[in-house]
Amino acid sequence: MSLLRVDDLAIRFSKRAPAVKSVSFALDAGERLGIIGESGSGKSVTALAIMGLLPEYAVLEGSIQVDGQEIIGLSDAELSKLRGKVMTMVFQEPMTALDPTMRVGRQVAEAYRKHTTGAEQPTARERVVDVLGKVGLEEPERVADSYPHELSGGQRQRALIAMAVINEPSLIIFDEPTTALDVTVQAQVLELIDAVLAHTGASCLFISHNLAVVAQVAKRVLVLKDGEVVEAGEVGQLLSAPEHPYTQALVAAARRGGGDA
Amino acid sequence: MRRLQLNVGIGLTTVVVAMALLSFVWTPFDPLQVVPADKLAAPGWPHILGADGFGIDILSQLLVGARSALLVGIVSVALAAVVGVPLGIIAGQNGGWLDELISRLADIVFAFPALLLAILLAAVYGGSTWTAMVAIGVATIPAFARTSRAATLEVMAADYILAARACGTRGAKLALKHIWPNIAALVWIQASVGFAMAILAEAALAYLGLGTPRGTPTWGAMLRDAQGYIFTDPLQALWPGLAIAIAVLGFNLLGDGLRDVLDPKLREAR
Repeated sequence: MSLLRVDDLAIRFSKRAPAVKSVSFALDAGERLGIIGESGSGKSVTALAIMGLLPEYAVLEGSIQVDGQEIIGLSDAELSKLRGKVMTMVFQEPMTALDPTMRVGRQVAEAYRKHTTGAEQPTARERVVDVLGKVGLEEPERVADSYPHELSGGQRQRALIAMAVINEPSLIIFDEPTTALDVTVQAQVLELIDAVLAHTGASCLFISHNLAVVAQVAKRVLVLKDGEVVEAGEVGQLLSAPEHPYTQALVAAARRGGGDA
Repeated sequence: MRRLQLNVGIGLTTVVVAMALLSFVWTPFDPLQVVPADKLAAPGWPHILGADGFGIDILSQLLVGARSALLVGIVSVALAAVVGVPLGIIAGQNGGWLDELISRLADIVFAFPALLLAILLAAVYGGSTWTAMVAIGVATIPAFARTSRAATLEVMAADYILAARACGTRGAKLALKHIWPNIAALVWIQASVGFAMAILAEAALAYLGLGTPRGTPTWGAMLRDAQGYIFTDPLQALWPGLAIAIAVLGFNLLGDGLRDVLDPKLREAR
């Protein structure tokens, strides 16, 4: 059975043209799927829909099933039991995704405490430092006691990844996790994502506008344009023989720019 | 310029607070003692700012009057903030019908000026410091609710709220740990401005005889007493008027100064 199943998903905001017209795909346990498309193609909206994080006025049609459970129509309280535990999301902008008023360690611990019971709570601090170390942060103790503004962009993105994986969820959605980072840090974070996924065996939905970046993490890719899937397949196949003109343009861009298209 | 505003604000409010504190340990004369021989004494010695129509020392009354100005300010602003801020956060966080309900209730309360509420309360319970504080406090609730709601709406759109929600945080925990710390600065600014409004309202109520009753000197009551001598001895009205102006100006400048220092958007715009 698929871990994540999206069937004929359509998303509209008020009376405007739909942000997502029709998207269907499935993701097995442990599988990594890349979603690629330009800004406004509906990839981030799709991700937020899976997390149940779209604003109330968004109209959703179709079906999203995580672990066999229908997501559309669940209340925020029910969704919050799944978020962080079964599925989680790492956002694009590490500079703004950490609360500026809160120490990093406490933010990571918050994600942990939410889904653990009494007995494990006193060990939260140890667990947080442990995970911060595992995502490659040097001096995890010091990072835990830092405020976000005291850390670099790369360090923050690592902390956010720690926050996402601390409960070892089955599904992690990465929404352009390296776009805001400079190229050397980008490579390190991609390596980390690869290592974390290999270690936890979590499934991953990796969203990007850059085919070269997606190719480093995912094996299978979905190409989104104007809220519809225009092409899907193995990364290698897509790179060597893109069928849709839009995919061809993307491949050409990836060949030309390599890094930061 | 922005530092100047803040510093002048801090300076003036410190003067008012110091007056109130000083009045607990020392006043030149008993602020209630009537000395007929000193009636309308000119500023000089021993009455530094003169004496009023009853022969009571004006400086002593001014010092003691600062107490009730500050007391009313603190209690009414605290009341307004304790009720208004949680309502504003709830409205901004949840949206929908709850937001609509809270916002419309705030509009309704906002339609009643503090003065009208005070007259209502004074008519029912008799004018006292408490009715003044409650009336001013209740009338200020919408200001706090609206400020907190607007700030919450902005914070709710921030990435860190989305990231916290993506980890399962919601409801009261989200409000206390992520929303409140990020809107607290704005609430403090609102409190400072609200304080100035409260002092002004308190003086107005005392002037009308709807607030603190006779027996406790207040700036508003001093103004009322001075009114009869406005053409013969205008200095009588000058002193309490000056005290009110200093307090109101001080807290307003403090609020504006804080806003300029704390609000990053304004900081970048300069």
